[in-house]
Amino acid sequence: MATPWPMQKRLQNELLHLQRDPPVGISVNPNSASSTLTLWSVNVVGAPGSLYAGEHFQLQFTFGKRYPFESPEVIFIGGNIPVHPHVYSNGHICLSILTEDWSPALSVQAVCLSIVSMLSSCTEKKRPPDNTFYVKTCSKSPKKTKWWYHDDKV
Amino acid sequence: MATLEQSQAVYEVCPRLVPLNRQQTCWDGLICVKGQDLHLRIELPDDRDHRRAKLLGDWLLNQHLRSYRHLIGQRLQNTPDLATFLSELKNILEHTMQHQSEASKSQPSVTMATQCSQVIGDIGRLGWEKLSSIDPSFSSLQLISEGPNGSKHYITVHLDPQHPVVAPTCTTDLPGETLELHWTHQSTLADIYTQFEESLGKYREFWDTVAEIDEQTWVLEPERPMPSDRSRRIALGNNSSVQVTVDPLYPKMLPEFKFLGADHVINPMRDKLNANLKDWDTGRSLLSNLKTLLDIQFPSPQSSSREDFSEECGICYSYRLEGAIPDRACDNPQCNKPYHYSCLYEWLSSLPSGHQTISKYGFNTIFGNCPYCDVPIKIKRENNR
Ligand SMILES: [Zn+2]
Ligand SMILES: [Zn+2]
Repeated sequence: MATPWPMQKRLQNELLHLQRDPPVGISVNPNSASSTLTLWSVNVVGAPGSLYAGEHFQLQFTFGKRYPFESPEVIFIGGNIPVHPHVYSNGHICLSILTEDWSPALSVQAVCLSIVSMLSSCTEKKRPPDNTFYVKTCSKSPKKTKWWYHDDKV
Repeated sequence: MATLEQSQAVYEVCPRLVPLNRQQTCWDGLICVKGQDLHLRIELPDDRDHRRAKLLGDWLLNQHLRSYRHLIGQRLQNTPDLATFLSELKNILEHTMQHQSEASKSQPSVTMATQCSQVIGDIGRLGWEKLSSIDPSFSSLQLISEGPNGSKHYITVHLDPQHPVVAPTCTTDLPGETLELHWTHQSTLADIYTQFEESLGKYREFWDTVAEIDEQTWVLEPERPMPSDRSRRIALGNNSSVQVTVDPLYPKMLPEFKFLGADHVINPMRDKLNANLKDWDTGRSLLSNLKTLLDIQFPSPQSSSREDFSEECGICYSYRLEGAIPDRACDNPQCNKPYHYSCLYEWLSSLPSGHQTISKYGFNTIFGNCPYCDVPIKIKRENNR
């Protein structure tokens, strides 16, 4: 494509929507969004009744030039990385919609909600079994990881 | 314009023209054209409105500008400020001095100088009010004609250097072919104007036809129709539309149709239209025929708002993308998500699971699923994009 994709327009639209009408437990920090809108940080709160109820987490979204044709890179950052069978201690998340099941019908909001729901369905707080090995060997971007999807029912 | 800005701007065009008083209502000095210094004095009214300026010059300047009184008057009226006028005045002077020197060298042929004075004379006979603009080199000018309903039409006349021996070329906002000029050596601008108004008459029925569509339906494209636009993309409902292309000379005849939108909506419409084509009645307007044949009421500005038909693309979240509007829609009636051709094409062709077929006719179709509802969706590569 000779002309740049209208990523900017779509991201502006998403940011505005998320600021005006955020779902419960999700808030985007408008100052965290860089001027080019390619880097955002979003605060999420564990859902009531779940193992993570009331816990605060921070997600970092990085958008590539081909967003929304390609998924954003999403990782947990900050001091509190949830202890969860699909979340590595370096913040990387193993969730299929972030790689092969991505669709432009998804959005920042949809991704956040999926992550909250992934946390909610957890029955035991523990790290993925291969955490030590993965964190030592993984690439910096989780998008470069060839995920072997863990059991979705967890 | 404030005095400081005015003097600055004038200085840039004519550095040796200086204000004689603090109010800057009187200017005197030299205007330099083609290495020659000409004495010029400009007197402005108290409010410094340059459109009411009085121009005084030395014998030489008057000599050069003798035949251009009207043009100079017109440029005074149509320039935004004194400095802009001065730069146009310089252009005119440059032009006339060039041609006067050419004229003295080559006696026999039609010289540019006489061409210019002829054009000025022509405009005078036609009426200065019909001149909408003229470029300072006299090589092209634009004439205006006002229609009975207040519509304005323009013709741009490009004069040949051999004018009037070689016919001018014209560009218009007419919907049909370009204006074919009948031109002889004796023809004048008035002849062009008459022919222009005659052809305007030929298209009056066409403009009435499209005006009815523009007023009574939602035209999605073009966004702002021009008098030359022959096509209208009319909203039929949510994410479906029909594009009609009208013959400007026979606007009541059957136009070309193109339906756009989800198959389940537009296929029945297309079938209905085809089945009823025999009932097309050239005695009635195009819109009224369309209503009858399709057996629908078009959503109209009276009954709906534009936003109802300008739903944004499900991929880029915008309505207009590089001028295009969404013209594909998911065929699942529960979903019906609109997409730009280019967005859907980009998504489907980037899917590792997406597969393309190339038939023996060379059609290249990409199959995939709607990003929203997962129902199969396909898109044909369009070569004209
Ligand atoms: Zn789009
Ligand atoms: Zn769909």
